[in-house]
Order: sequence, then C-alpha cells, then structure tokens
Amino acid sequence: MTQFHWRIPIHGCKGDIASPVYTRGTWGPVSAGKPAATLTDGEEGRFPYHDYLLEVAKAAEISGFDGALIPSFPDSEDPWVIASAIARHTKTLRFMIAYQPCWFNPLYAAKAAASLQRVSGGRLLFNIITGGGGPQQLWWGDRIAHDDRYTRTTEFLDVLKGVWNGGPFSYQGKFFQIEDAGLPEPLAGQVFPELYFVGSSDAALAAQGKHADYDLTHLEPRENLKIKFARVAELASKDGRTVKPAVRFNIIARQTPEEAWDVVRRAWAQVDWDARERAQRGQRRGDGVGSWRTDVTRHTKVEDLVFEGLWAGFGTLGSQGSPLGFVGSYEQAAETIDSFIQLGVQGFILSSTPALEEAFHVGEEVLPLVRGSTSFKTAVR
Amino acid sequence: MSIEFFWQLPASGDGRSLHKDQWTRGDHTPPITDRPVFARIDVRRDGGHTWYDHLAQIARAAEITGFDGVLIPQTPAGEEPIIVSGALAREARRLKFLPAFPAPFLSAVYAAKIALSFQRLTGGRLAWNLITEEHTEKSWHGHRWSIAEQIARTDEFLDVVKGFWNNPPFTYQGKYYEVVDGGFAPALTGPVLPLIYLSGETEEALALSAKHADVHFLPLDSLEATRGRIEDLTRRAAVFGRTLRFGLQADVVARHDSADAWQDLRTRWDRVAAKTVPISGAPGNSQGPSKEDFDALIQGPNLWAGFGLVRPGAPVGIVGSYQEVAERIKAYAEAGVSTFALSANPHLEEAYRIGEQLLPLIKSQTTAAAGQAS
Repeated sequence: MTQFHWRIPIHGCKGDIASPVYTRGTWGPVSAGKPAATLTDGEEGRFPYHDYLLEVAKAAEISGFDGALIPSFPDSEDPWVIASAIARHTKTLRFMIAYQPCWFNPLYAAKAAASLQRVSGGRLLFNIITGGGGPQQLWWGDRIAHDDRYTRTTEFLDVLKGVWNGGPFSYQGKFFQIEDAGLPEPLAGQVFPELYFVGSSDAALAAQGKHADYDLTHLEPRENLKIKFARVAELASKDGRTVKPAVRFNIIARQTPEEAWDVVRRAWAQVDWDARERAQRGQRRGDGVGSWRTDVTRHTKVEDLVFEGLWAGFGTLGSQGSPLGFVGSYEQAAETIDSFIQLGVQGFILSSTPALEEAFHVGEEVLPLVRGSTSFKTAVR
Repeated sequence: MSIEFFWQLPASGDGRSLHKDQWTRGDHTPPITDRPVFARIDVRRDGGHTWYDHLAQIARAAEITGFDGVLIPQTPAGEEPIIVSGALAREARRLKFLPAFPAPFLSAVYAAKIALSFQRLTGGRLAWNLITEEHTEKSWHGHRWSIAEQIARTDEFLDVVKGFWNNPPFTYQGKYYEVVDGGFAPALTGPVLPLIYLSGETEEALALSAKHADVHFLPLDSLEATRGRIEDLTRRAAVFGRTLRFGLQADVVARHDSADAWQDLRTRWDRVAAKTVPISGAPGNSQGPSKEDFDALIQGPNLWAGFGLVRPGAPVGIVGSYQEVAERIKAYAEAGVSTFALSANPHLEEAYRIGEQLLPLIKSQTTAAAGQAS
C-alpha cells in the first residue's frame, strides 16, 4: 500500500511561508507577536516547541496521513525524544526517525527501537541516513570515509536484524563484533521497523539493496527519477529483493491554482536576496553525490521555475529538501501524485509551511482524491 | 543540604511478589498460567492499559505523592530508560527523569543532542545515571568489555559531552571518541547539562566519579562504612576542585509497626522460597533461597540483603516501621547522603504508601536536624 508521510518541522516553523524567519520555535530572532509555541522553558502551564510538534503530529494523524517523518539536523530537536512523545500522544500515526548508524551501538539501537515498538504498538520506521561526510560528519564525532560509511550502515543493519528476534547472534564485521547477542524477551520479536534509505552513490545503492524497504529520493525531474528507480531495482534484484521507490517534496495546494500561486508569489516578494547570497557562499559541503539544483538569482521570476507541472523555487523560500515541489489546486496535486505512483513511487514524504495548517490542506483535500484514483488502487502492494 | 527523593520505575515488570518470576504486571516474566497478567504490551484492549500506561501511572503517582523524580533502571529485558523518559516527559509536570544507560553504547555527541532536546522539552528535568555492568557470556548485547574499559569509555564520553555542551567550538581526540569543531548552535544554547549520577566501587570507578560525577551512588551499607566512602570520595574529588553529592538506592519495606514490616517481608520471602525457582547470582545456593536464609540476610538494624537475590536492582533494602526507616534515612543524610532512590513492589501502591507516610516524616526530621545544625 502506498504510504503518505508528513514531515515534522523539527528545526522550527513559520506561521507564514512568506516570513523570512522562523516564527514558531526558538530558531529565529525573538520578536513581538511570536505565538506561545516559542516558549521552551517547559514550565507548568506554558508550551515548549515540542507541544507544537505534537500538534503537527496529531494534525497529520487526524487529516489522514499514514505517518510522519521526524528528520534530524545538527541544530534541531532530536527525533528519538520527539518520537517517544508522539508514540504516547497519537493513536495510529506511524513515525519515521531519521537515523545515522554512528549514533548508537546497534545493540542499544535495537533495545531503544524495540521499546518504541512496545510503547507505540509497532508504529516505528527508520529513515537511514549514512551521513554526508566532511566537516559536518566530524561535528558528529564521526571520521569514517564515504564508502566505509556504507559498509558500516550495512553492518549496523545486519546486527540490528540479527539480534531483533532474540538471537543468539554473533557477528565479526569491520565495525561491529559481538558474540551470542539477542534481545531478551519480551523486547524480542516486535514488528521490525520499515527502512527508508537515502543515498545515490553506488556504495549507497549497494548497501540498501540488502536492507532497504524504500529508496527515498528528493524530488527530481521525472527522467532523473526513472534512471534512479531503474538503478535501485537492478541493484536490489542482485540481492533478490525489492526496494520500493519513495520521494519527498514540498507541496502547496489550495482549492484553485490561483490561490496556491498567490501564496508562492507573496512569499517570493519577501525573499531576502542579499542574505541568500551570503548564506550560499558560507555553505559547508559534504562528499555526498546526487544533489540536484536549479540556479536561482534575484532576477528569476516565479514562473521561470515551472516545469513538468512542478515548481523549483522551494529552496529559495527557505524550505528544506529539494527545491522542486508542487504548487497548484487540490485536483492538480492529486494528479501529480498519481503520476508519480504510475512511475512506481510507493512512499511519499510531503512537507509544507506552516506544517500544522498545511497538513490539513493535503491530508483532508488531496489524499482522499489520490486514494480514490485507479493507480492508487492498482499500485503494486 | 536539601535532600532529593527518586522513585524507581519498574521498567522490567512489577507485582506483589518479591520474585521477578512471579510478577503479574507487564509481560516481562516467563508465562504465568495460574493467574492473569495485567498491563501486557501485546494485549491491547479498547481503552485498556498497556505496560507504558502503567509506567505513566506510576510516574504520576510519584509526582502526586511528592517525589522529586523517577529513576528508570537499566535491565536486560526492561524497557529502554531513555525511551521511557521521552514517552512520559509530557505526562508529568515537575518530575525529574533519571534514566540509567551504558554510555559506551552511545555516541557522545548524539547523546548530548538527545539530552539537549529533552532539556528543552521539559525545562531541564533530565539527569543521567551512567552505568557499567559485568559483561558475561550471557550478556544479551554480545559485548565483552571489562568494567575498566567501560569506565575508560565513559570517561571520554563525558569529556566530549561536557566540552561539546559548554565549550564550543570543541575538538577532541581520544581513544574511543573524537570530534572536530563541535558545539550547538546559539539558538539551542541555554539548557543545563544533565546532572551526572555515577556509581561503582573499583579504583577506576572512584576516579571517574571524582572527575565527572555530580552524584555518586554508594552501596547501602553500615553508617560507618558509608562515612568512610564519603570521606574518600570527597578527598578524591577535591583534587579536581570538585564537590560531590552522594546517593543511595534502596528497596523499602515500611509499615506502621516494625513487626508488621518484617512479617510482611518474611511472608513474601516464604512464598518465594516455596516456589523453588532458581535464582541467579545467589552465592552458593543454586537451588534458590530457602526459608532458613531469611535471618542470615539481616545485615544490621533495618537492613536486609535478600532483594538482590530475587529481582534486578540494588541488593540491600531498608525494613521497619515508618519511624524506624525515617530515622535510618535521616542518619544517612547526616552522614552526607542527599539523594535517595527508593523502590518497593508493587510500585504504584507503594509510591502512595512511601510518598504519603514516609517522605513527610523524613522531611520534617531532616529539616529539624538541619535547623539544629545551623
């Protein structure tokens, strides 16, 4: 069954996509008129940002999403903390923790994940990130070279799966060595979390062929997606497995196309081009491959960035992820998602700003149209 | 010196019995066929309780009855304490969370990140109980690190966590941990580092506490031995220009009358002994405890050492009337102990008993004592 996940804005959120700074959470400068969600002191009767994140999760659940992605950045809230709270504060919503294998020993990860399955009734998924390398990876305290990091990812998941149902499991890898390990009862034997993988290099795709359930790609032009999906399928089939394509993109959907484009035009008029150019110069670069970008300057117009029924300006508006996303009516959004399903996509991670209100635009209005479509009903299960 | 009281959350099951194999709350015990098991994870009735609902109930009980926090112990088959803390964080308003976990199993930077997020979530209510444990052929996690190596790893772990948190940009090159230009972004700075609770009796453990601990858990022992340990550790910490606080973990069997408390414990012990279930770790007694062992396990006034034979956790507990137990705790407080992590089965009902009957007694006595001292 095709899955739809909503993205939790773990690094702050804007009440208005046109705002140049985060107005929900403590990431932007403090200013008059910030809502109560900016309070983070956790005092009785006040609301830390986490309470807002739980509101977003509940909005995703109520409006009909299957799950929520909880991403991870150096300067964001931590997804394990948010996930354990979401587990207690939602009923059916699945939650996907973005996770790098260098963060926990696999045995600890197994115990923590099994506990999350027990608290939530088996609603955990992982978005396995192998890490971009470079200064950011050293910030995390991780100095493993690019291809070796994928070896470690494979080993990590070998061990996680090996001990999951109780073992005894022994392993002599390059990074992990264990003897006769296994989760004890009653932690053993929970539902194993589905795994979304990110990565485009040969090493990445080889690693995910063995373990991934979904290959997660930031939205790219359809020809690029087809090539990527074919590579994923080919490499996974060498392991006798099927890895399902998944895409992640930003979406702004309204009753009419005009209303949706008005949102974008208003935000475009607020872009701080000077700040944007400064930020681009100072960007830290990792050694990941496969990043796709469209050049945008202060002379670019909103309509210059339209192609294939998509819009490539989301990065310029400060949204995370691919600059390429969707703007248009509910019907057009459903048709676009449908076209990706026809390309073979079986997992969608959608995001927008503000995360709470937009969850309802998509969950309430777009998803029912998609789920009523022929391609959705006949998609590979 | 103010005293803090933690209640222990039974992360690996609970029940009326002294023996973990007889517990009927949670699904952590081997299948019990002669009675229903309450709050199983795998039986989700509509509106019914599962194990985490019950843990939340116990945490709320601890908060309602005046405990300062909950200690969540690390046990092989128990729920992961950090996950429990995160799950219950927004269900309690003032309660501190003290999860126990093995630091060497986590990235120091990532653990710091989790802690930071938790502090933001709760207004700074997280503390860490970093543990080491004997790794044996039966250890579920398949690692065979010596205690000394676990401590060396924990030492570096804490070097990195503290440097990353307090002194960015932080660069560190150790044997087990390294980091380059670490530190949180300005928007995330402000929350305090979790207080560090350590324990251990080895030379390496004492050295680690002297350097890194805020609170050191001592074994529950005679007052004289306790004073000696406190003097020793205070001296060791002074070398680093540091001051330690001290803690005790103890089961408590407290009733209105001393005789009732001992009789209740003896009755429950006899029921355990009658089951002839094998007890791991009982020295020279592979057949399990016998009824005759009870008196041999009395280790002085109000101290009984049988708890560790029948369930995970601290071996020794305090037994007696509310007045007696309050006096024992007051005596330890006067010796320099300021953190008490108490527990008793079943944890929900006993939280009310201890919180309502014992804590007010202790608080009034220690406040009076502090008043006299000053």
